[in-house]
Amino acid sequence: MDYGRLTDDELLGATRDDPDAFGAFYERHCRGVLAFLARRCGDHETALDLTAEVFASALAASGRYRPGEAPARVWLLGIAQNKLAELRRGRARADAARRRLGMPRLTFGDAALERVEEVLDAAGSGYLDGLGDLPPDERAAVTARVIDERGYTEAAQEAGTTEATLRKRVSRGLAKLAQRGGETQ
Amino acid sequence: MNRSDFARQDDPLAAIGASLTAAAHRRSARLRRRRHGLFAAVATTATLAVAGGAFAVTGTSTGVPALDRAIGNYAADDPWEGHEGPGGPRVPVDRRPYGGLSPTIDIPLPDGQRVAAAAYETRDGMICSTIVDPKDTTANPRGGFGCTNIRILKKWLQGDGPAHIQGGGGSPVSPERWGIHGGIARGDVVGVTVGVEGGPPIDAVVSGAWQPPSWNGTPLRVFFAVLPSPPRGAIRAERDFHRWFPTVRSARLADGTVIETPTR
Repeated sequence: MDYGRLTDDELLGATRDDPDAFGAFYERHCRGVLAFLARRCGDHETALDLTAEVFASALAASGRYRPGEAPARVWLLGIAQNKLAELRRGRARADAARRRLGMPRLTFGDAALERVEEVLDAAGSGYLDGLGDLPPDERAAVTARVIDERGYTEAAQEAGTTEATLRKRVSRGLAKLAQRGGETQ
Repeated sequence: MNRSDFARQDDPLAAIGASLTAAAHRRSARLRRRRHGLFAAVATTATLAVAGGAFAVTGTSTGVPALDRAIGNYAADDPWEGHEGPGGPRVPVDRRPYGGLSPTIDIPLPDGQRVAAAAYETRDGMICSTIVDPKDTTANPRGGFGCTNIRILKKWLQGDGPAHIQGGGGSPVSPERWGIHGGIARGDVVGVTVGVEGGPPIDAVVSGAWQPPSWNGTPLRVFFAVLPSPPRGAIRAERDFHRWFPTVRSARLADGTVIETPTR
């Protein structure tokens, strides 16, 4: 199957019956997620560990992924954000999803970590360009609601606006990100 | 959690991808079996006349200080809630032992070193097994944990055969040379062999039987098998991962019956 022709939503939807579809989804997003994590934790080996954990969580949750709610890469970044928060709370818990899936933990030598440098150079910071290009109010709304998973009421109070306005900002922002994702796939 | 080493990988994203895709295949197979209702009924009245006889619930200590410290450290982390993406359920985690530990087992490695292992039920409904270097005197012993939800484990043991590999690939000693793969078997299993594709069957070390508090049915045993680590760079694609990750080949029951188990 030519997975390159499928959207992220289609790949995640096919994962249950066609596990290789998840491999294609991983291949499409792994560099971006690695870059996102590497910039935030500043340690390439930890970033690799968390990348594996993010995708293990995504695999475990793929059956519950609901297309159209948010672009899949924003969903991934939400998972990544949570994993970073877990790491700050206790490093020991940063591999729970992998354990549940029976995935062995990998270790990486110097050559592998050098390879990460190459990947980061290539990936740059492009993974969040879409989010960065949104108007500030939409970016803040999407971040609060989708990545930080705040409730609409709480996010609206923090933004100093009404819940209805915040919903509109989230909706507009996600629509733009979805459009941008479609352009880049 | 202490790190459990596996073969070092030079292409890290490819190695992670191979591991993930293999996990996706295992998950898909399990979901397929569940969907088609292929779980076989098992005789829960199977004989318990196993080697050694009595259930060996050992209380709160494994008898190996490094093992006790590893389990204590794992359990002592702050209560935590995992969750799996927006809209996903929050999963409470409490890895403190609940009830008795399994008998501690001693695993000899071909190079003369030894590893200690035990299994236990956790308060959040998992069966965890752990391995450590028994000579490790540090506060945070090097080792590894594998945990499986009891409900899922029950389905696996009913559907896939009487023994199931829980996870593995690492060793707290000589990690570049050996991988230790652990699993859980029904209490009436007294012998397990595992093997990789194209490789010979390897005898696993099987513990005495023990009864986790929440496990309704026959007691359980934990087993571990020692296999050579994949050569450096051997795992670069999904098919390589499948080749080097062992499966249970056979399970020998206390009554002498040998069950060939082609599934994990």
